[in-house]
Amino acid sequence: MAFFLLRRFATLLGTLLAASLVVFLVLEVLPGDPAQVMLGVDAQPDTLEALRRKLGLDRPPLERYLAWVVGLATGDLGVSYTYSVPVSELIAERLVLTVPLALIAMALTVVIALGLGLFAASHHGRPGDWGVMTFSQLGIAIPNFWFAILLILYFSVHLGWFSAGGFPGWSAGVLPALQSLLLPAISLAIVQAAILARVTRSAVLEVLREDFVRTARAKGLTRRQALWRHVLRNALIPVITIMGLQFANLLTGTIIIENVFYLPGVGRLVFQAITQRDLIVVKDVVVLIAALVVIVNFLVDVLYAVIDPRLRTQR
Amino acid sequence: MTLLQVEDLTVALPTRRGWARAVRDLSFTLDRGQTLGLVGESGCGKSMTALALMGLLPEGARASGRIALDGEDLLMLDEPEMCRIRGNRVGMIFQEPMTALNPLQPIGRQVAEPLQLHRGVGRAEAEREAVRLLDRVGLPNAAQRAHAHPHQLSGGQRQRAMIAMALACEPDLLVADEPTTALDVTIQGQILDLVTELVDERGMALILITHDLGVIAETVDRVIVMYGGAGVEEAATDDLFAYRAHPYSQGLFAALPQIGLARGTRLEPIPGTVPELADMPDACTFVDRCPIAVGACRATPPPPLAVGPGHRARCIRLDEARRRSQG
Amino acid sequence: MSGGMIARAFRHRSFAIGAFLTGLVVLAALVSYVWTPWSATELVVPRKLRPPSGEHLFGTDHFGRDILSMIMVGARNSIVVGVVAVAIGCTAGTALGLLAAARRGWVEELVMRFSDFTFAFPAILSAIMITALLGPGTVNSILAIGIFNVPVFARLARGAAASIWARDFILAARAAGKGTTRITVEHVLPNILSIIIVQATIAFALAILAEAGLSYLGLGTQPPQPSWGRMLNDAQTFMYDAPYLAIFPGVAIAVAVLGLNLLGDGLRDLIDPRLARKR
Repeated sequence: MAFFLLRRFATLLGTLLAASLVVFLVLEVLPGDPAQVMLGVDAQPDTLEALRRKLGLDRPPLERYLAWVVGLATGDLGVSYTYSVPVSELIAERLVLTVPLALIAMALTVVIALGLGLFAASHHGRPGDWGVMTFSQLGIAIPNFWFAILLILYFSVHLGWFSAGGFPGWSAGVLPALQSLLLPAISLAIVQAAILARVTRSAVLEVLREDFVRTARAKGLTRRQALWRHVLRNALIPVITIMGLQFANLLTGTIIIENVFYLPGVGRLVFQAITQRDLIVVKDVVVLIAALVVIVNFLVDVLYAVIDPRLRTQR
Repeated sequence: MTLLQVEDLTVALPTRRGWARAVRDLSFTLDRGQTLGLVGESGCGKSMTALALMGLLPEGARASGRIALDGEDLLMLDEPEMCRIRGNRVGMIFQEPMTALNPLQPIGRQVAEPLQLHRGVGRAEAEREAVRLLDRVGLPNAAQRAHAHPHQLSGGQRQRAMIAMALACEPDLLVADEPTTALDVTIQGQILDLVTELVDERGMALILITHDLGVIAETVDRVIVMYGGAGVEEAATDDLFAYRAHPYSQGLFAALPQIGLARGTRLEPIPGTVPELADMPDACTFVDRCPIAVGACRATPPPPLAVGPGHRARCIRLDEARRRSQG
Repeated sequence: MSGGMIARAFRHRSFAIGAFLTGLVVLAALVSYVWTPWSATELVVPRKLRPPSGEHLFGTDHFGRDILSMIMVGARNSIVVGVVAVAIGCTAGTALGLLAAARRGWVEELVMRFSDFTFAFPAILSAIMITALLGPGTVNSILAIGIFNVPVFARLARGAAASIWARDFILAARAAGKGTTRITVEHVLPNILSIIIVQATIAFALAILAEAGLSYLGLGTQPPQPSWGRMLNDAQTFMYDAPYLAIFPGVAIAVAVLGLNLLGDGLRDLIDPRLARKR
């Protein structure tokens, strides 16, 4: 177990380093002169020179990369060019929105997907199954930001239950804050849930065919008992794999969804940074999102070992 | 009193070409303490018979006839009632100890499960009882091994755990479907000895399903030879090994390599192959491969004819079969 | 495809529905080159924000442009972005995958490590990096989506090709003295082509979704060129006055994506019936 975790942890660090290197190469080395990119072609030579100095572009790329990585590790992410505040502060105040949003969306995804997937599998070949599969096929085809707009159209414009966007902040109270995150979370969740419901269904159907399910039934367990006590946990292994990958989609989905609902989160931050060509912020946020994706996949691997005893003893 | 009475059991499976009978008109009785073997090639309907007894036939399958356990027809029971029989009054051991155990659960809990289910005891107590059971089936260090997962046990140990599970509630009837086929030859004997020992000890009835005539010879009192879903011959084990009346049984035994056979003696395979279920002839199932079949064999299903005391064969050409086997 | 296979294909429900929906989108795009009900780009402010009617089937937007015409022209945009992006990802990825399977050793290790870690950059994220670097636009979003698809196809092609390399007929070809390149082109590629085509269909659908997302954010196709994602962004501004604006472009995206997904599912079933039964 310890060996397994250690090896996975080493891979995690390697992947993080590789990801940061790619981001650095794409945003700092490939453009040739990042200062020019940030200021545009019609920038004054002296402003350009000032920014170059500020960015430390006179130093060799390797040195800059190492300084950046050390900064990332110690929480010093540099200062945003457009906001003139430390990027770490910018990100921190945005994360308090994006992290809860992603977590609520993930929770919704799991609840909807497991429910529908189990329902479809236990109604295999019957109308219930067919209905879930149709929903899932439609859900996969619908862009999440369109679904978000439809939700706003119905619940905000038509019924007036929610505001059409914006975030009051946690200081305004937990309930109003959560309320403004509900529609965004649903729009993020529904597409992911459609995919995960499919995966759950086929995983459960696969496990239902296993010999040990017949053994469980031979002990006198009812179909339902066998499903809950023996099938579910075994089916969870492929489901969790996909869940890990979906978390990546959810995080990048926040970039779009936060823009649909005008939520001041990390996604909106990176979007604004792009339109303002603030490469410092873009670089840091992209690496942050990539790191979150990689870390979640690491956690998924750990979760495997918790669920499946066979992995614990394997080298 | 008769424990199990099976009458005209027929199992029909839906296939692409209509209904096919995987078991046809099978009848036998079994008392407590008795052991019965079902023998035949794969696809002969022996496993389907076991699943019919457990009420675990594949979806869409239909069973007709009568399976009376202590006079109660299992085919008439609804699902909740059947769940109270399974694992409680009828236990079953499966072929593949590798796949028949839940890989994610410690074996102690899996053995304890039928106790919690049928005896209504708490989990802690059921798991204590499970350790006693695992010890009884000869699992070394049972108290510790109860916490092990299936992949940490050898094939033989897994099958022991499986036996403990099937016997947890002291069923009246134990159904063992190829319990040793997946095991090493050296382990096979130990497991069979364990099963017979436990059956004796608890006065259970045993139905042993196998394709291995050696296993039959060592383990059971009586045998039914099955072919194409039909029980073609039924006899006491000793009688069958002394004389096979049905042409299929004769062929089955002749195809068997025997220790001590003179060198150069050729094994005689049965001509032809087992037809698909949907292509199985209607009357005598063996007619297409039978060396002595005549036109009448295709007319009606042959009735069970007496060969000797307690020895019957479903063949209308028993005399010819006898002549051939002696000639 | 033999005649029998085509007949079988159209009896297959997913395939038939998928082919119909995809055909509808392609047809709309093709027709838009020669005819649209109105101009898709001409601004006629006096007739702005008209709800759907006989005259303007899907209504008009805030500049008085006909929505149906814009959707037809927008289909062109989605198809071009999808086709080119998938072509880039598919060609480069398949080539890398074939190379990895043929060369093994460190080449394979390198390709696989590269594919492994790129999952850290989902499509939108890599697109954001690229637009930050090169600025917004159709070409750049094609590039972003295409690059994202490279490792997807590389991984798929390597796996499929490796299993072909293990087959006996490859051994026979080797024994006949054929070189690695020739075996790859003559034997491996034709055998993995069906899997690649199925994946390309699915990737096409995902590319349409990604393009719509980028255009919605304003990072993809730029006005006045109509694009479905951009239309939805405009629609959100006029949500209270003209809610119908938000309906039709979304339906268009959903129809295209659903059609391609069903087509891909159907193709997979038809090409490999064994897989179909397993699902």
